[in-house]
Amino acid sequence: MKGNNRVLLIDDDRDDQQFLQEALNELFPNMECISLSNGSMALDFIKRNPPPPRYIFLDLNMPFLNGFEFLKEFKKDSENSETTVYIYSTSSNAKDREKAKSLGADDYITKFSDFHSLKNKLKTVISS
Amino acid sequence: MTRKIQPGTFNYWAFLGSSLFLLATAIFSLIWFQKQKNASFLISHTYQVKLKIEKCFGLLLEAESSQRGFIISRDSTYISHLRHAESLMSASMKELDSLVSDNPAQVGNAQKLNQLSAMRLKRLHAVLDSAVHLNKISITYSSPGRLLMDSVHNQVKLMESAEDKLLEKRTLFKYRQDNYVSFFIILFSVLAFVILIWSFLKIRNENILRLKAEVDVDLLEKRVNERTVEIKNINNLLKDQNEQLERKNDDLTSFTYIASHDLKEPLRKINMFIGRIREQNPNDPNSRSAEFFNKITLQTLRMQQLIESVLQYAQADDETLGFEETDLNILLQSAIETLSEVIREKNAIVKIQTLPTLVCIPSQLEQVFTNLIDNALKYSKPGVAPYIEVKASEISVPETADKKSFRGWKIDFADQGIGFDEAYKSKVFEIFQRLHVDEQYAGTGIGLAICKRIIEKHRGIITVQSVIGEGSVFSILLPSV
Repeated sequence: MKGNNRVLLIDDDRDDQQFLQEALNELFPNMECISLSNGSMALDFIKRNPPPPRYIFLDLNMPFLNGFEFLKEFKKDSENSETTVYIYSTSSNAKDREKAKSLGADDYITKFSDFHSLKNKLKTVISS
Repeated sequence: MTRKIQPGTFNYWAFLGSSLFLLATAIFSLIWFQKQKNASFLISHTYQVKLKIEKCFGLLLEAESSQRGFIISRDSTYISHLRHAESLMSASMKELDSLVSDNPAQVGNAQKLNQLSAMRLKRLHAVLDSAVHLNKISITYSSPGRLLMDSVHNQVKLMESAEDKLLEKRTLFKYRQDNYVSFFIILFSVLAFVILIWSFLKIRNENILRLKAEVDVDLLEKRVNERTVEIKNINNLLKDQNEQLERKNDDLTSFTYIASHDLKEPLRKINMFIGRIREQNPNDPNSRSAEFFNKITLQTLRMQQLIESVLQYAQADDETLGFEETDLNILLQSAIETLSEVIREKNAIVKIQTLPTLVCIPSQLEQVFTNLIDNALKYSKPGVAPYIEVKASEISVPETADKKSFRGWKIDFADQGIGFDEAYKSKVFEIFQRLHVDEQYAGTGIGLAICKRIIEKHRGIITVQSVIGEGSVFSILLPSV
């Protein structure tokens, strides 16, 4: 998977897409960030553009195919096993955390209310 | 229904009584008829005696007339007539003897009659013999014979009069007896009739009672059935309403959750954008805009806290959370850990005792601990390091007339803070009730309401004692079982 620096942001919230993208661009300028606004679009994109992305930031509440449904579908394909999936959600609900973990998510990040904290968190979860 | 009915009890006694009465009547009747029979027998016996006497006298007369007939006609047929009369007479005399054997006076009389009759017959034969030997007709009526005959007649009359007296006596006796029997038969019939009527009335009465009781029972059964249907309907209604309520509750919970969640989103973004602006325009931190930005951040933070609290309050009723046996020390440690930053900031001291292990909803009880310690830290005296003590004691209160028994644990959270007027004691646990409007005590007015809700869900009690300027003690009582 060498040379694959693609990061997929799956979130229906344009602002959050923007925050995350800007933070990533500031921290890791050589990473390719692609934003998609729902699960089905993301699955379609991954199928058409191999190899699978290195990181996925996944929101839970989305139209058409929500985060859990996407995760279930995504993990069915063994080709995607190398991808690190982070849940990126406003929900701090313990049940959601457990469900995400059981479906194979690597970490659960609650959306931050300040940009600094977001950047600090990204520094710990992404290795370029 | 308090009336007690024993059907058949009276019928049984009435039947027994009537039977006994009838039996007695039958026995008495039998005795009386026996007596009647005796009386009748005695009367007919008297008549028999009289007839026998007359027969004897008649036969004597017949013998006399046969003797005379022979003397006059010399016809030997009269002799055989005489003999025949004599033999009949001797038999009749014997019969008379046996008939009067029950009466000693008449026995004597009968003997005398017998003697007199024998003497008369002897005299008859003497006259007859002389008539045959002398072969002459003596038509003169022999005076000794006539005298004898008179004696016989007198004797007969004597005996007959004795018998007549007896007859009179016996007839009178029988007449009285008859009267008695008639009287008793009428009496017994009337009695039997009265008993019959009485029994009939009693049985009818009993039947009426029983019918009435049956009607009562029917009525009662009907009413019970009616009430059952009513209760069933009410139950169904209640069930429906309960389901509706549950649905509404679910709706409300999800509404609160979604509303809180969605309300938080814009705030988060406002904060985010403020952060971006400050990052990109790092102007003088002492400028007016920097001050405004600080205030905006503070207000959004407060708004976030409020929304978070409302969310927690709504979740305090979450039915999906389960009870489990939990070491409360772990929950207390976790609560202190959550507040560690504030504790450090304020140089607070939290002194704790060993807490018990109880069945509870761990996340909720931890929330209570956090809120109570947070409260103690928040309302501490300015400039004084807060001192908070957590104490636990086992208590057991026996049952009294107006209170149920209680066995469990009392956990106190005592602070040396600013305290409050106990007049507002009940207000502190109400939602959005804040006793300190001063900005320095930044509460949301929900924390203690959440505590109350959670403790009540655990079937416990939360109370507070407070003195202004000295501090407050919040106590929670949790049952052991």
